[in-house]
Amino acid sequence: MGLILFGFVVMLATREGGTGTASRSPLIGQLVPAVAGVGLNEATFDVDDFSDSWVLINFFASWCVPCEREHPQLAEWSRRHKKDGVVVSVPFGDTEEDARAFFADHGGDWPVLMDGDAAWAVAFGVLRPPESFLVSPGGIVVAKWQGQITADEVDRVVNDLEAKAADR
Amino acid sequence: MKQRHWISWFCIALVSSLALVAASVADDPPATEAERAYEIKATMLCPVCDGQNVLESNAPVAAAIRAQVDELVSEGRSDAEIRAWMARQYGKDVNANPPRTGIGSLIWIVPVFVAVASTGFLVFAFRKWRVGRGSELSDDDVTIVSSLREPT
Repeated sequence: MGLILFGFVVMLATREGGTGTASRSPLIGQLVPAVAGVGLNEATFDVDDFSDSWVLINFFASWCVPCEREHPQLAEWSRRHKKDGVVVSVPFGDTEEDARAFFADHGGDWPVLMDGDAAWAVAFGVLRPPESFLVSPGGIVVAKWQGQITADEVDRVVNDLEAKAADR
Repeated sequence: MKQRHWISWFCIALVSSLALVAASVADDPPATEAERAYEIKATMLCPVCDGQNVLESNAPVAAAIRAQVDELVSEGRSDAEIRAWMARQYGKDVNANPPRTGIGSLIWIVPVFVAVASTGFLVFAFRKWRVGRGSELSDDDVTIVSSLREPT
């Protein structure tokens, strides 16, 4: 496991940021900003506890139509990566009440964290929802998507990086 | 004597211009944290709006930036630190005011020099124009004036 993590870090440090399906972001290739707190389901979450997993951080809003459309894709990706990945949703420009109602309507058993002082939104440079960030095992941000995503799109990046890490 | 007079006026114009610029650039420091946060937000552009600052905009990203500016000011971060952080996250265009150091400082300095140089040029041009028109009397002028002065 340590060797794989080391492989990821070496590969990502030498990888060009913002290429492929990922949007440009100064975060690509950097350590993920701290994301931790108590979720709407009262469970605590800390991104640092998932340093051996893929983490998909999704900024969304209940009033955002593309967010509603992509929600089943997040659920699909979460289902595919039960063992090696986790989705985290962060409401952006939204109230806790509406975020709760959104998850009650659309489902989803992953952590939903309120970004009270917008520290995470600014740390990730989020402009408008939905925006998603993929964090590799080792805690490096490897991709950013602006707009609606699909599970396949995210997995293309995951598979690509896993193949490259295995080659090293 | 006249030359010295002209230089005095030029010096007065120069000093006045520089004083005006210095006064506009060196603002009074804000009295409270809230004032400081307000000033930062008023000079920070919403990254997804057309020319609106984050104070005026209702966009979620503007609300996020406002909340973060309040937080960072309360943490004691300097204006420069906050602006640099926002520029890193959203691009340098998020700051409405150009920087006062480096190449950006030319935006503040060049207009002053242009104003002073233009004033100097105009003063010089008007003087030359006036002197050139009426300094030398022709023989005809002298004759006319003399004939007018002679008692009838």
